[in-house]
Amino acid sequence: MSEGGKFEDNSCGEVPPEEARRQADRLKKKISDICVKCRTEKSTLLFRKESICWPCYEDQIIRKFKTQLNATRKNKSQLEKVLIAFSGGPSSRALIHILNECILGRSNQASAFFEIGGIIHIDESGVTKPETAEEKEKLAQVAASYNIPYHSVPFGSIFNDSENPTQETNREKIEKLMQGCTTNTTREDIIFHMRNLLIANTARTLGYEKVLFGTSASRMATTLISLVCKGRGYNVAQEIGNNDTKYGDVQFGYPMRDFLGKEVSVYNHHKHLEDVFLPSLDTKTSDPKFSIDHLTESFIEGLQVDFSHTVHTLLRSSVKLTMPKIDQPMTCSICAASLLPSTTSQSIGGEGKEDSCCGENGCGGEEWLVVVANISDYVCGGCHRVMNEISPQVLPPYVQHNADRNGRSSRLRSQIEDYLLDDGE
Amino acid sequence: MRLSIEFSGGLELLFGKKKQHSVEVDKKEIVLRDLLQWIKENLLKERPELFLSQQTVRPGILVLINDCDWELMGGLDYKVEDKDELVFISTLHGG
Repeated sequence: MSEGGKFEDNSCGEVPPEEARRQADRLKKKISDICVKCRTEKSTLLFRKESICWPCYEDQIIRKFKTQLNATRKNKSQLEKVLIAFSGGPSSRALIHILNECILGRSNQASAFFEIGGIIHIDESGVTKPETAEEKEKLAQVAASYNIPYHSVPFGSIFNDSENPTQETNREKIEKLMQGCTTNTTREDIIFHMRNLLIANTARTLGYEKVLFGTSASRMATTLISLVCKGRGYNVAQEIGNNDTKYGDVQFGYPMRDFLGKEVSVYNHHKHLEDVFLPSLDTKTSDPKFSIDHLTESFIEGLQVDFSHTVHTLLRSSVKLTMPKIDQPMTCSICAASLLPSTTSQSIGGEGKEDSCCGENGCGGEEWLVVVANISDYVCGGCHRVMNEISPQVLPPYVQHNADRNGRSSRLRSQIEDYLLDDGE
Repeated sequence: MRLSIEFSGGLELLFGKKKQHSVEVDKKEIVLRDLLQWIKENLLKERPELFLSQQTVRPGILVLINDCDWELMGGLDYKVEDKDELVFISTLHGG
């Protein structure tokens, strides 16, 4: 391989001598041998274009973490007991460690108001390769090393249905669901939403009001762009806002949202924090167009190399987004996102299912209560795309339950509509 | 020269699932740019495009030389020394 290859597209034509170029490069990146923060130690790391030493780096991480942690609090005077979502990955691994350190130190008021109640892990065996006994052990070991209770919830429990138990095992149902999708984008999409729903439901059952996620800035930026690409732009504020209220009484918080993936990995490396690598669907794929999420990630990481503000600029813009207030909110039957007012009114006005009833106005009896709703009528824009791909039979039972409930309330609303007063009246 | 090379964050899957590699490079002097090619030819087991892209590491892979950020050390032009510890960490989702 020729060394000059890299400079072939150098438009200025002149390649400066090696040493001069290196000096210029160092100057451009403001690289200094002494830490720019404490001005005493030798600099070893680059943090937001500044060369700093490890103690200053750690200090910066903790400081930024506390700011973000504080931003997730609604009631600033109450002690909050939180559940930590642990995927096994580096960011959630670091989250457990940093939060625990903050609480033990109690140097800062914010962290004194937190208590880690437990760690939750969604076991995605079946979606991907089954977790080995060794991996399970490692995951539990992380929680045990901090003396925190550990809950491992199988992904298959999303199919649990007490009303209509079936012969099929959850593992078989996951398989059918995955085979039912024709694209990897949809597979990743529904795994993401169902995983979050499962975490929210488990948190509710265990009595938590808040779940903290280790989602890093890099991951957030990828999610932001891919949400837009997947037709979920309307829900961006709800999905990645710091006070995710999508799941009603269970709030999601993202205190790691300021850190790049690289910053987290540097921290973990220095602290000897071992994450548990669990392969995901896109592991080892050579296809750059494997899925929208995968493509978006390489796009953003590629930009980030040359424009180091890419990720943070994206996120700074996204935090300004807010959800419009909707009275009578209805939520998507699959992903629990708020439905667009137009979508809801359309399904109310459309009355596509009326013919399954008697079709007359004010149809008698309780018949409208038992009508099986058409799932596609009560899903958000993004999940419409999902419904175009897969048949309703392979979806977990909660989807039909939600659709039925949405159907009932929209029918009820349309029946009493004439008696309701508009805001203007 | 003797080098200690570590791969993690899922990168180890491309190197026979082995994280720690202690290797002997039969050269007196080598810059990191050439060492990457050496790694590709001698250690990498599969899918080179997931490790290297246009003669440097793929975006999203973090490189540490003796626990220091490689950008501080001169990046691809860094002259590798005997007993250096190099760490490659994939920060990408899915490794």
